Amino acid sequence: MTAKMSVSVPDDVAEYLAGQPNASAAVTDAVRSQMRTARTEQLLRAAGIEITDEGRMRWREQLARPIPEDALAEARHGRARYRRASAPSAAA
Amino acid sequence: MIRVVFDTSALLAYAAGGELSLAADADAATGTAAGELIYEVVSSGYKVGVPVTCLAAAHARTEDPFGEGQLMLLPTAIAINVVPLDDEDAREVGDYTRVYGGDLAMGHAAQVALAHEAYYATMHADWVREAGVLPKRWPIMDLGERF
Repeated sequence: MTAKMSVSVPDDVAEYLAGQPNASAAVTDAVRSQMRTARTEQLLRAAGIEITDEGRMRWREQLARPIPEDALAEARHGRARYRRASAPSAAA
Repeated sequence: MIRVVFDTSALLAYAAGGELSLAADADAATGTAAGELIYEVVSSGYKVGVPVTCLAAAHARTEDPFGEGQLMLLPTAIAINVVPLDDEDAREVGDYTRVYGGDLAMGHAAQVALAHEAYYATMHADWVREAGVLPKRWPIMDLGERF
């Protein structure tokens, strides 16, 4: 279900939304992203965990490094035999 | 899209919580590190994968109400994706489990990381690396590492 709403936004946001093929989808994506972060903050607070910028930066740097291509290739090759084994036989 | 997979030890670190934890053996530094990793993954638009077997193993090893509560709450977060163990993955998970000395949750965690091409978060980075299930250069997030 969807609801039609009228909201006021600053000029720069209005200009950005005017350039989007689907302004409703753009707003929904942005709000959902904020909801995910806010709910995660609530969850962590309940666990007594205080997020620090230093700690986030440590993980951000590690997450910015892509999985090396050779590791991905090795993983895909290793897993292929399980996929082949579970595929239904054409003769069956 | 799952970006990082939490194994049992990573879930236990999270469940121990941060500074406010009442758990007697809580390590605030590792709990905070686990929370910061979750937050960073979520704020960049990705999800944290939690293999259901790891969640069950973490419950089995958690007796204090605080930790139990955190493990109950975690799957309710929209950015946490609890990954089931499907029959089609049984053989692969079984092979990895054998390498990990019969630890089904570890075998499942490795399978989920490989299948989703996701980073692996753990308190036992050396063991995970040395077991050889994950390729040598697979990224492992070491929650026990001190900075």
